[in-house]
Amino acid sequence: MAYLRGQGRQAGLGYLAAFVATAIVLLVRRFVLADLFGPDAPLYLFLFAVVASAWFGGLKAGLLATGLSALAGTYILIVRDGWFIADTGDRLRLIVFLLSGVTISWFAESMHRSREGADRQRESLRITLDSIGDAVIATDAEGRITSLNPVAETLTGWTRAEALGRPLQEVFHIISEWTHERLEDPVKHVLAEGRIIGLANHTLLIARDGTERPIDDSASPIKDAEGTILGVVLIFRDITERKRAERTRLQLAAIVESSDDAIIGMDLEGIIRSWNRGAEQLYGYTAGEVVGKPLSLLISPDHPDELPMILERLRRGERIEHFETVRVCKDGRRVDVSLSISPIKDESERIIGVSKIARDVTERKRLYEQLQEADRRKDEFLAILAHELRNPLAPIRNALQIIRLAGDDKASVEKAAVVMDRQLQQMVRLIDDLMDVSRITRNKLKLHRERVDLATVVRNAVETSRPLIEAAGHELTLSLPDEPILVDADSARLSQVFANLLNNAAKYTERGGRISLTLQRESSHAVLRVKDTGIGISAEHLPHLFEMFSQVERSLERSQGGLGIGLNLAKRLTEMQGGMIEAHSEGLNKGSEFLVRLPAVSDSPTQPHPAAEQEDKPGPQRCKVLIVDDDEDTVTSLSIMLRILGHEVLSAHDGVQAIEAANSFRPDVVLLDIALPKMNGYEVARRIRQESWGESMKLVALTGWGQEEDKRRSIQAGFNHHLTKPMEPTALEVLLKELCPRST
Amino acid sequence: MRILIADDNRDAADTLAMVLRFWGHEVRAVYDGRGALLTARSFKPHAALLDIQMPHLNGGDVALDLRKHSEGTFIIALTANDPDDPRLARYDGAFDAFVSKPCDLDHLAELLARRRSGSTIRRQQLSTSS
Repeated sequence: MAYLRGQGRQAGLGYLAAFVATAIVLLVRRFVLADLFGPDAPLYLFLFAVVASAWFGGLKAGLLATGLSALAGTYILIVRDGWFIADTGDRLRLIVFLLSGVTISWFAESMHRSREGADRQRESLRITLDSIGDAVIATDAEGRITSLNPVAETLTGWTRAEALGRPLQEVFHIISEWTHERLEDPVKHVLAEGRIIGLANHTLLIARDGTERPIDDSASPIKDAEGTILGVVLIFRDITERKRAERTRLQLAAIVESSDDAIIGMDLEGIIRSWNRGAEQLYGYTAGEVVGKPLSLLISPDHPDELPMILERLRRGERIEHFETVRVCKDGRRVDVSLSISPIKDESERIIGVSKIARDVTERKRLYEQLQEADRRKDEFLAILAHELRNPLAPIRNALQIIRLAGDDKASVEKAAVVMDRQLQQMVRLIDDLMDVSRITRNKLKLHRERVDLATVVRNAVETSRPLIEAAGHELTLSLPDEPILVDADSARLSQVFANLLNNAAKYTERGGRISLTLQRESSHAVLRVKDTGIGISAEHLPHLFEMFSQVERSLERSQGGLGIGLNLAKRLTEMQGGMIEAHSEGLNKGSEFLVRLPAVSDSPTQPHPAAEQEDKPGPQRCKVLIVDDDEDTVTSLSIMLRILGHEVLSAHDGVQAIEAANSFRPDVVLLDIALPKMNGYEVARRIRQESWGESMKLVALTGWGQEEDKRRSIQAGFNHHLTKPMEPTALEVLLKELCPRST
Repeated sequence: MRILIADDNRDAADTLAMVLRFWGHEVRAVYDGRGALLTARSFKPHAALLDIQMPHLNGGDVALDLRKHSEGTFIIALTANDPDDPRLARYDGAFDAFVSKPCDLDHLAELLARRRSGSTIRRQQLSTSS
């Protein structure tokens, strides 16, 4: 019966059945059932034939069978003679038969039709399912697969033929993306709960070949009119692409969010659509406060055309880069920004919005301005430098001319020489200042610190500045304390600082002014004050006074010479020694006061640090050493070593020089290289020993070789000692200690 | 010739005066602008060599004043500045010549010689050679 049920109508078979069935019934009636029925011919037996035909062939076959049966029954079984049925009863029976036959055929036809309709529907559904992009699997109420569309075939790796009838879990194998554990079969779930179930996110479907794909799905029950579940339909799709797009989107969103720059999205009407954290920080508005509002709320009222201009350019597809402008923040503060604006396009290259990146450039602008300012001052400085260095050149050139012209006039020549000397010193001082500044800037200035009484330093400074002060006719008052105030500082440099202050006081005060210098102790500090009755310092200039290249604005009348670096140098030198320098003034023409504060120390002045270079200070053990060697490097390195040890050093480069030097310098010790030009070391030694002044001189041979033989030879030549090169500094030190007389 | 020198750098003024004396001129040297004007009144120099940058009254103002009171004086500006310095522009009409410091003495000699011979000097700006 299943076979029969599954078939559609078969017209041909129907017609055939009509004939065959009719014939069979006829034969059966005539020969088999003749005894039972007698001569009376029940046409209704032929109805079997009609049913069979209509079953197969529908209306037409049924009608044919009806017709054939009527004819067969009538003429073979009923009518004996003639063409018509005689009996009324027989006629009636014939008519009833015909009506029955037609009715049966009709019903069969309806049945066929509806089955065909259902088949068509099913077919149509199947085609639909086959052609949609999602995978569809349908199951019966036991969870066995009843249909599987091509997409489902691809995703699961099972063909329809293989999958049909199997339980769903065999074909639809899903696991959690995170735990990789098998997830519950959705169909079971649906069957249990009777409603639509969507799977959780992060589900992976494992195909038959092992491929893992992330999927998104939902399962719904198929119910009949009473609500009985007939099965489940499961729809799912591969979301790899979607996940990738999602991930990219999240990444980009994260980049935008975490950017420190303000990134703002706007539509083409100028309404803000997106606002990142950077924008919140820059402008002060939160995203909630501005999204949906026009961007013009950020633009200051004095730039009314800016936004329309920007939108216009963007509509044309232009990008705007490094557009510098001003924006107004939530708190009303204005901020300098640099904008990069680009159009946002969709896939068809149509412009759908605007993306703006704003960067706060206030800092950058400030630095740029500072840089320009510094550059300008440097240029001005160079101009001043050129000018100042030129100044001494005129008298020097004139002086030269005088010397040429003077002939016997000694007085004039002398005067010229004096002038040249003075001017040269001035230039030297200028250049020294420059070098100092340069050295300090490159951190190459070395201080020689020692404990020193400030009063001494002050007196030195005063001596240096005295000519200038006197030349300007100023009165100088000194006020120094009774007790010495000690500081740990480089006295030369400190004197330089004080002299600078005194010079400034002298230069920037009208003739006949008053300068006062006071030194006193204030708790743990030494404080020096230099006060003048000069042109003072304006309030706007005061903060910049100690900067490089600053000088009171130079007018043609008031130039006083100088490079403008003096105070900067003074400040740096003071600070390098742990001190502080300040300036005060009531204003222009009200005089100025400069203050230097230094930390005071309490002990008595001590000897300078042993590591410092000692040119003039006697050490505990000090010799005069003559180094004789033709190798420059040897001489240099030995000299340094010896000077560090506190000795006075002279050098000579050949034998002849050596003897001359020994005679004039009268060293305590002579370090004599043997391999010398002109005269070798042995010879030199002999000659020296011959002299009266050379008898007790300590002679040390320096050689590259040190065999016993050589040492003996040295002793024979008159050397007290023999050292091999290269020598250990300690060896030299020890030797000199031995050889040198101790100072008293 | 009688020559007046004004320069606030004393050594520059004195040495230049000595050179000019060796050349046979009668020279007075002063060290500021006011002094220059005062001395000019009594000394009546044929030529004046004026440093621009001086305290109180600069060389330019001195020149303007001299120009008013003594027509015939040959006024030369001595300047350590760049002759094209815009600040000097206002004195353009006052000076007969500009010489850069340190001044080329040959050049100076030439200028004075021309003046002495009486030939008219075109007023112009001259920068130092060398």
